Amino acid sequence: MLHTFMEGEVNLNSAIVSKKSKSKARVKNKKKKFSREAMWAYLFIAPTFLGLAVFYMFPAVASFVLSFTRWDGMTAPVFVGLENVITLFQDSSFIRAIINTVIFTAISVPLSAGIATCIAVMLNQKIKGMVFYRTLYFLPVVTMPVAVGMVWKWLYNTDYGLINYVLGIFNLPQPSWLFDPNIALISVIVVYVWMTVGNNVILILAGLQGVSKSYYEAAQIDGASKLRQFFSITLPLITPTLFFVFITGMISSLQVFDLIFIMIGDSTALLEPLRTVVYAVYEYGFEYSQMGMASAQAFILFLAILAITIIQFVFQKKWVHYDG
Amino acid sequence: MKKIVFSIFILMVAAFLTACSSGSSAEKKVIEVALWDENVKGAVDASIEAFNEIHPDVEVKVTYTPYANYWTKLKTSLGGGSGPDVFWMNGPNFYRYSTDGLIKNLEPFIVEDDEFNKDAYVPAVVDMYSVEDELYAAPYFTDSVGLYYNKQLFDEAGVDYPDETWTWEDIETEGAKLVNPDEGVFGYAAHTTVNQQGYYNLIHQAGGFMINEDKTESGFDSPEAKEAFAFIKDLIDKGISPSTQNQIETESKQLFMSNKLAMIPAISVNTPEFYEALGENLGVAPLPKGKQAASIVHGIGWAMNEKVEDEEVAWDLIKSLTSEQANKDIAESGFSIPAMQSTGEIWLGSVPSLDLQVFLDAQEEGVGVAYPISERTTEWQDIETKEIQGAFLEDTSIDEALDRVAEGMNKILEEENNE
Amino acid sequence: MKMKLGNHILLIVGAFIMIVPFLWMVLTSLKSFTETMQVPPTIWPNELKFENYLNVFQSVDFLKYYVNTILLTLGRTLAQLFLCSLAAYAFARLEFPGKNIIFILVLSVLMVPMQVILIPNYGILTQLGWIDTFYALIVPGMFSAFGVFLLRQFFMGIPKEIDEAAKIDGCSFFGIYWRVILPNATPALIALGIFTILSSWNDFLWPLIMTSSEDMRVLSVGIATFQGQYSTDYPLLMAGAVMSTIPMLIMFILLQKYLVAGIALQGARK
Repeated sequence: MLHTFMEGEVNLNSAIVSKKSKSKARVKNKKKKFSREAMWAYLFIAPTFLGLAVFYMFPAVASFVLSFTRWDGMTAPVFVGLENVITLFQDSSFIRAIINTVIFTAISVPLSAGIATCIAVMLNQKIKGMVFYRTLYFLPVVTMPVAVGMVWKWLYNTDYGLINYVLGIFNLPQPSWLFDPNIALISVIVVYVWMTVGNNVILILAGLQGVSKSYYEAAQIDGASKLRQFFSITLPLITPTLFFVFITGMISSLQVFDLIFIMIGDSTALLEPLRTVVYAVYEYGFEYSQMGMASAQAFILFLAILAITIIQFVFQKKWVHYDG
Repeated sequence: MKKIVFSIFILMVAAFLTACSSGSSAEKKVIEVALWDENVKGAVDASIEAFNEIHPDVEVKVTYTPYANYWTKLKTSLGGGSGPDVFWMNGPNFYRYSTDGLIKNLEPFIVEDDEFNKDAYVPAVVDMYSVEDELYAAPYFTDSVGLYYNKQLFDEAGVDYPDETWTWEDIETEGAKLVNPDEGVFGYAAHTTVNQQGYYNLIHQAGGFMINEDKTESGFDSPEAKEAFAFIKDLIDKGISPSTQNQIETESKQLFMSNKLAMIPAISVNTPEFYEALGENLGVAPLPKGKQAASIVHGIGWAMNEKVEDEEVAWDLIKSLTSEQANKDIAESGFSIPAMQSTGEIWLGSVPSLDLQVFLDAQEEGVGVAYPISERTTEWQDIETKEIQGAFLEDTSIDEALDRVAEGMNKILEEENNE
Repeated sequence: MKMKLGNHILLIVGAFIMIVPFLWMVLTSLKSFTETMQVPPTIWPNELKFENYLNVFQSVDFLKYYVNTILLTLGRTLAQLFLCSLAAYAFARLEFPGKNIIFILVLSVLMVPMQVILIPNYGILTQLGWIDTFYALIVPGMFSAFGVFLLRQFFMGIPKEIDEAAKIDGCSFFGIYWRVILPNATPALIALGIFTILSSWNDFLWPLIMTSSEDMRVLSVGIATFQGQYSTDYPLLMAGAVMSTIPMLIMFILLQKYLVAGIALQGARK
């Protein structure tokens, strides 16, 4: 089933496959060529695939097996069957963690991609000092996570923070950004978007270079406005890049952990809206020494991400244009 | 350019392949040591030097891992089938490692060895690292709790400095006089976000306990524990102490070091940084008494990996690290109180203007209380943190929160005992 | 002209938001320890303590950390650029049985949280005898599903006519990859290069767990040692962070012009 779904995508991109069934003779002819081509393909993929298999896939499979055990991470695991999974689905805080993670992703990924697109288009112009601006926008990406956490904690501090200080001048309400359950998640999303925008800008900038200037020249002759040019030329042509930004953004934000760890720390009570799935994985695996449970959580998350990714791949033909 | 890149790559692949075949030849015997605080580096190095005089053929490799990642790394390496030979242990993690058979029982070594005498060390810490009276981690240094105060703020408010006669009542009455809302000054830090220097002491001072001797029952729902938290809540409500949210967002010790907090209960390890910030304005007194005097005692111990290759050598290293000389080195560095009682005096000299005797007294029998632990300490402490902070943050009933802590903790303790 | 001024204003406002934490890092690195504990925090240091930078070098072997980090970064980046582009070319251009399944398998690597593969991975490295060696630091980081996916997306955007033409000229598959695809994908390769350099440079958990000895220590781990259990030496931490960030900034300033260099697509899309 997976294969047929994906075929659609291949059809779109490859002229060869769509012509596949035209004539038997051609198929025969193709087969011979196919195998040589396939051999080269396997050769090209082999190093990466083997490396990933040894250092990522094999440990992941091991972790999958461990999700059926009770294991403290150090002594011999005990097989418990589906106990972990059943416990998890009865655990309201795990369900809540899934919901939080989904909300987090649904807001942060489009926001980050949207802002990054605007910035990238601006940074793609030829105006003075562009190198300077580009570097500035790149700063959040290179700033050490510890510094990022420290600064944002200070900005958000209820009593001594810069944001509330400014709000105070204008006599506006001064909320506690990280400790009010209604806004804590939004506050963290803001930092996440701030941190990830730089990466996406780089990707989209690279994507913009593939857009030939001749398109704009033609559009200018037609008298299309800048905005119209953006929507009818730029946007469609960078959809392969945007697709990448969405998929990888989603995969990583569904696994958000570091940022929340930095912003809140592990010694204080975490507000319920900020508890994400991977945060729970960390808690179970390394704080409670229940690695089996942590593996089960990770595996459920893995299946969810995989499903969403495949769906995205299937639907990409609706909006992603690979060839001019 | 491309050629250069390509040839570098080929070289790397070649180096990678050859490396697989070259095994390390048998040279010096290596023993690995892991700990987290680089402030003890001088003392540890001196002990290793002493050890190498007996074992010149053994190389000791020391790894300092930041505390925030120490346990993650230790668990990963033990789980991956190796790990350091000798490493630091703390209270909350101790039972997990000892009952799971990950660290060696040191008692057989102690019985055979006259040089190591358990009675020389602070009893509360020896108790903490013992299972059925058998020692599993050799005490290295200890930390107890005292009441630090800012003399300048006391002078400005015209309040007498705290002393050993102080009780909870004094915290409230004198604390109120020290509050200065215009300057953002608080009187006392009633900790709700840290337990060792905070409410654990208050619970025992009220006559209660966190966990019973047999480790079968939680004391968080006892009237004494509730009394302790009622006291904390009172101090916060009256504005004498910063609120829980304030404590989470801005560490109380930061307020204390910025002249914005007059009194803070804190552990002996904080002395050097407090002294650096406040200098001669820093004072220290025993924790004010409730129904009784009590101060939580915790300490760090040296544990031995169960899978250690040469246990005799590892034991000699532990002995060297906990010898009288090692304790003197720790004391002189001013880092914390050495675990060997006879060397405590030396530590008193590390900040001459402070009455550090307070911390030694706090470890005495009748006052010093061992940090509460059971097999799954980290798990019930997590419930404890969540419920207690949650009740203060959301301003819901603290008594009910304590009942929930006890309920969750009892369940964990029951599972522990059934295992 | 008016338009351009508007652009500048927009860019400056945006840039300000981006730069605040970096400035904070620099300012904190010049404060005394006691000042970093002040509440409310001071913005400009009371006294500029440049000696913090010297202290970093005195308290840890910072130069060695630099060398280790550079080796780690170079090794991973060169390998990734080559290996990922090779695999990406196969996924973007060649036909072979099991293509989609293999591609999904590669992508799936991104979907497993690091926390659960850490222990099995440690076991593998122990078996290989790589714990606390450069192999542990470099080799597992040479393979990247992210890189394969990124380059595949870009390669698919390169017009097919170009490699069809090369094929007719008798170019081998490797020849097409090397002479046609790679030169036409400079911005994508630069983007991947920037990402890999950056993530290798800042990688923390992996080097922390897989290596132990001082000889293997990298910058991120070295800087983290200023964080104690009870107190953190923020001035030294930030001074170390600034010194670790500057090479990355220089790297970006040097590479960004290739990122937007524009590619002269040979004979396509006119």
